[in-house]
Amino acid sequence: MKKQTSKDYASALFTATQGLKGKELHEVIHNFVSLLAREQKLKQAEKIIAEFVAYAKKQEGIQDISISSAHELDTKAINAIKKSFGEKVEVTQAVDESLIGGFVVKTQDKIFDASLKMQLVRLKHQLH
Amino acid sequence: MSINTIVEELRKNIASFEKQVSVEEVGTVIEVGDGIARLSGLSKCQASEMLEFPNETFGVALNLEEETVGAVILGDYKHIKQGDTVKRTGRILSVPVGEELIGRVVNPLGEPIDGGTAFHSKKFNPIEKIAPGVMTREPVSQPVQTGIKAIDAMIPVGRGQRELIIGDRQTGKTAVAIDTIINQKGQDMICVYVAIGQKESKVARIVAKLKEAGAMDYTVVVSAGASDPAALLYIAPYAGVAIAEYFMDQGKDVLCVYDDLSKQAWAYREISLLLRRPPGREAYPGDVFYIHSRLLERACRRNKESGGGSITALPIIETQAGDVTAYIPTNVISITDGQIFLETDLFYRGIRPAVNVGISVSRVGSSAQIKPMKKVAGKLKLSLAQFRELEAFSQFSSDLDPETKKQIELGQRMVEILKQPQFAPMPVAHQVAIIYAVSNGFTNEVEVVKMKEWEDKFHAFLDKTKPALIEKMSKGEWDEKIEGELKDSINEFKKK
Repeated sequence: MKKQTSKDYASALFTATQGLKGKELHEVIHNFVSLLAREQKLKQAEKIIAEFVAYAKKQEGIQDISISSAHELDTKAINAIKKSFGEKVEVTQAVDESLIGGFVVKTQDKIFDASLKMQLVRLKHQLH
Repeated sequence: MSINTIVEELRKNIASFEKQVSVEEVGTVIEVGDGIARLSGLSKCQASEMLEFPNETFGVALNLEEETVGAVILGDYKHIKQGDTVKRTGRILSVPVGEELIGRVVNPLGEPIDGGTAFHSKKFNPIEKIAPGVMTREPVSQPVQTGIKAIDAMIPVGRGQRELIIGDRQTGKTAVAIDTIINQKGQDMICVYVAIGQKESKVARIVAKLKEAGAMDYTVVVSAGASDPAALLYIAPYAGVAIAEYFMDQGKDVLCVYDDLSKQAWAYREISLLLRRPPGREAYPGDVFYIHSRLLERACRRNKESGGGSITALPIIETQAGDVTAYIPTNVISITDGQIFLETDLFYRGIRPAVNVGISVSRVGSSAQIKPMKKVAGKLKLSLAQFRELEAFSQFSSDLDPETKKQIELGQRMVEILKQPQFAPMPVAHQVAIIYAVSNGFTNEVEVVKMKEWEDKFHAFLDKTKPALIEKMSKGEWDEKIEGELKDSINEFKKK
């Protein structure tokens, strides 16, 4: 039989718990944990939790983005960026002075680079 | 250029510069070690795509798995850590190609390592490419003159052929290949020498020798040294043939030497085991045959309609204690159109190049031999075969009948003239002349030990007094009249 990955467990848990509340949810989670214990997978619990969060967000269409910019951005700017990524967006923010100006948005597997640093690098390549 | 024009140029460039948001697909490093990185993300990554690691280090995606991508890192990997971002480049692994590579020494990524200026090549060739198909090929028809008598006479190589050079260490495999490259001067050939896992000192020596012989004017050296990571050793021959293909596309004939493919197989085995691919015989992965077959299949003679040009491949394989039945030697023997066996025994008996002409073969080369060589080589082959049968008796020379004795002495003379020093390739017309003289018994009264001296004087004589005859023979002309002329020349020389 194929070995189950953390992702398999996470997706199974997501399907099992979908739409459940209160006591039922508690029971399913209890069963899930005892399954993990039986299969000796408790060591991977952290990984499964991380996978679960990522998987659940993907299923519900929530995007995680992180914005780094040279200076602190105001809420108006952040909201504008958020909007361009759709409705459900969770933002983490950071300041990175090495960007000089502009901002960089990171999603799950893409980087949108609108920083001054990158523009300068491109200009350098073009002049070369 | 004056300051004003520079400023003007700069203004124009900056004005045309557009602001753009770059979108890049990225992944993260999960684990790294031994030149291998396992990455997550990169869901759209292609097979053998180049990936950019931090600090402008590049890698190649080799294993595309459900969750992860296994990549080899080309270059130093010490600075790459877990969690680093890796960018897709969208480019399949490729090397810069072009005329400016001629005379240079480059690494398998096409970066110069000879201390010369970097080149800004506009054209890149992917290192992996499907070999030309059936309809674009034609049989070999033109010879590659190696300048080595034993090979040109009995194991001829045609343009577009794949001829394996196989033998133990220290039997002169590289010497055969280098002599061949040196002999291509003025033959309208481009040579690519790929050094895989060789000592840097050896590569430096070879390059110096090629320069001295004027051979760097038409040669590209691709070198992945012994200290380079296995990934570079593995891609080196493909990079070499990609450079060769550029010249072939210009309709030129190219000679490609891979020195040597056993080291490439070792490098590939290392990578495969680190990527956890299942090991097979001698711990090589299942597709070790394919790495060599797809490389050597790219050697070809293309027909006129498809643009012409050819790539001749001279792969080199090193055997361990003469064992040609090991995995890699048998594989490559079965792929190539013949092989040149070099043997330790012969080497130490002073027969250099140490070619064992009995078991060496060329399956297609004879159709590319020039006519005079074809005529004289038949007799040489036959007499040498007879000599080998009788050789065992040569110790009892006093008890032998005169006929056998004569046959043995003829064989000994032939073996003597097939000896040749390194870096001294011989023009084909001279080869024909000396082989004709010996195999037709014109030298029977010369002592075997004095053969060498006789030969040298004979060549000098021909050069001085019969340049027209030499010219005709090197053009491939041969009829009774030319044969008669050659006979007369030999007799004339003998009278002196």
